[in-house]
Amino acid sequence: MKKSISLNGAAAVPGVAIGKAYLVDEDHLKIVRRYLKDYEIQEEIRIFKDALNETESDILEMKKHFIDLSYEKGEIFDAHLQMIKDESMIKKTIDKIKKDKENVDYIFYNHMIEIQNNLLKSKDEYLQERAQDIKDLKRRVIRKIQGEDHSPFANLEEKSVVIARNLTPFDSVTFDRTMALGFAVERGGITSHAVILARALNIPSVVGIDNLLQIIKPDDTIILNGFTGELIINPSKEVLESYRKLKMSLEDRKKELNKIVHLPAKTIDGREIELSANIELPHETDQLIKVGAKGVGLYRTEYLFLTEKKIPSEETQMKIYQKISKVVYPDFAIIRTIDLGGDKLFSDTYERERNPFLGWRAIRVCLEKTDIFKNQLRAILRASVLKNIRIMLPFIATMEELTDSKLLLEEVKEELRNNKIEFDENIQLGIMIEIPSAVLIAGHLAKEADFFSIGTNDLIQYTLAVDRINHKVSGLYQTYNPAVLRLIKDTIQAGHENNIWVGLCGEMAAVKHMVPILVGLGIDKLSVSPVFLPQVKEVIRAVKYEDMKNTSEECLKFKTAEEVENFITNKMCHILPRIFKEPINYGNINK
Amino acid sequence: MIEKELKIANENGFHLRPASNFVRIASKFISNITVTKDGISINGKSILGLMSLSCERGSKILISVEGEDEKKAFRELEQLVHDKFELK
Repeated sequence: MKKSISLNGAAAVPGVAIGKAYLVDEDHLKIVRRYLKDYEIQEEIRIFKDALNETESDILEMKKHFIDLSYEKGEIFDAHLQMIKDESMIKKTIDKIKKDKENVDYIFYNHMIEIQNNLLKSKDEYLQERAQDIKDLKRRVIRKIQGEDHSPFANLEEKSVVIARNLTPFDSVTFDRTMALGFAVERGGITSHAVILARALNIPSVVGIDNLLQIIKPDDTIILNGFTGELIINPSKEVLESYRKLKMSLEDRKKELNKIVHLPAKTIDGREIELSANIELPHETDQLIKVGAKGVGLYRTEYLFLTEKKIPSEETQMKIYQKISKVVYPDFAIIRTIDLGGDKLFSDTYERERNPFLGWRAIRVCLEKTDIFKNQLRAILRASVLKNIRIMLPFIATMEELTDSKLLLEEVKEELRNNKIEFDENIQLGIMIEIPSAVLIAGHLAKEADFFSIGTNDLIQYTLAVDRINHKVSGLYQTYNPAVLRLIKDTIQAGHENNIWVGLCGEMAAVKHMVPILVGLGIDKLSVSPVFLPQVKEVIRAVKYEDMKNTSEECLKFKTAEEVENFITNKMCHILPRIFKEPINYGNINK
Repeated sequence: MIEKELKIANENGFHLRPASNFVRIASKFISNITVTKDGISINGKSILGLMSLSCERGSKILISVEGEDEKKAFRELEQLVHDKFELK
């Protein structure tokens, strides 16, 4: 009976997953364990020897290329060759294959990990660094055994709960969504890339559990609770049964939500809120219809730059924007220009900044590197033929940033006109409101922008001067903070006084307690990750706009976030008890 | 069998280069070669094994050689240790 272990991380994507663990380590190596039949043993040994020989050839090849370099470099290869031919290692591995009858990549992997760990334990720094050599060698040999070009996230053989060190944008593109029941990753705070990408995959996910890969073994049974962030390894029969029941009630809830998918996001007294989707990866547009989204409220183009590992060409960008435009038509797609730090774009020449969150990023980079900016603008314009694309600029702090951007956009339009290339002349250009200074001059900005979209993730951060990924102060990152609410109200007011629409695309929009307040403050549009859309719609449909106007006014009178939260929770428990009265006690399953 | 305790004279003990040189010499011979330190015995022809033996300058290792060519093997290994693991 394997011991049951319970781990706690941050809930990233809601839902429950029950399945066998499928491990992907930090080097992107699949860790699988297979039992061999007697007749398979010789073949397994042969595979091992072939892998060693192939690795040896690779190393010799590399050595040839490096022969001109310093003597020292050449030596490393010699040492690596010795490692590959290490008779003790080879004998030990082959003996273990025969004795334990397990697959060689599993055996070799564990053997190398052991050596790695011994080196890391050494007080000698030099030997600690040698652990890296072992790591490289391990990776080479195992990839030969498992098959070189294979992405570990693609082609899962059976439905599993995927456990990994990290999830990069590139990984998420190759992810086998049909077989992955759930996903847990070591790295990642709640607003990290890993979470955003996990949401894009739309499978229950948990992030930020240390040492996951050391604790979980391949084929362990995993229960992943994407509501509470809990991971249970090898659960007892009773716990397994409770979770199976929970899963069934969740399926029922899903069916319930499915009923309203194609109904409008309208309050009881008829105010319609445009409810759209936040996407990072082009393929997410598949989900829009399923969740009843009215177009794309935010397309985070930086993920395109991150997955390509280099700056994507105008052509590449245009094709993707075009595709999105076609898929959501006649609804709109709002394309946000790149919101990236300089470090991601110019890693070769980049000098580390002390305060990257207050530094050279997003629109600041674009206004300096205008060729990249204009390239993106040109790609967007060329894709705007169906007239359903809108452009949005991130991180606007001053008036000049907006007016300078508008000038550049006009330059690009002129270039296209001269080349007789078709585009939407009346394309809307709006801005993210995520920096307090922008809120304070919102009246001016509203005269130059076609719309506002409030980015609450950053707005909360910059207003309360809190680093959202810093554990020590994360309690200060208050969604219900009255100061933040005030800024939202002022933004909406300034926008409406100047006849432009105001939307909100931060995580706050997915917090069901905040939705009524935002509705009451007069928000025109909410954009959320597709997975949250149905429940936001459910809340909108359950309230009266006139009623919520008063509610939000009340909220603005409070002095603390706690008062706001208590007030709205109370109110909503009366209006929609089914959803707000702690319906399913997700965390209270008997351990 | 020839067995003798030798003192490590080079700066960093069994770092990659010394270990590599040791294995290079040891592998030339058919005799069994064992290196023991603090009670742990390692196959002298295994670079992975030797790398895990961290030895500071001045520490002592026991080298045991047994086999047909043990005399020559031991002589060369002793010379290597004496030369601070540099191959001449």
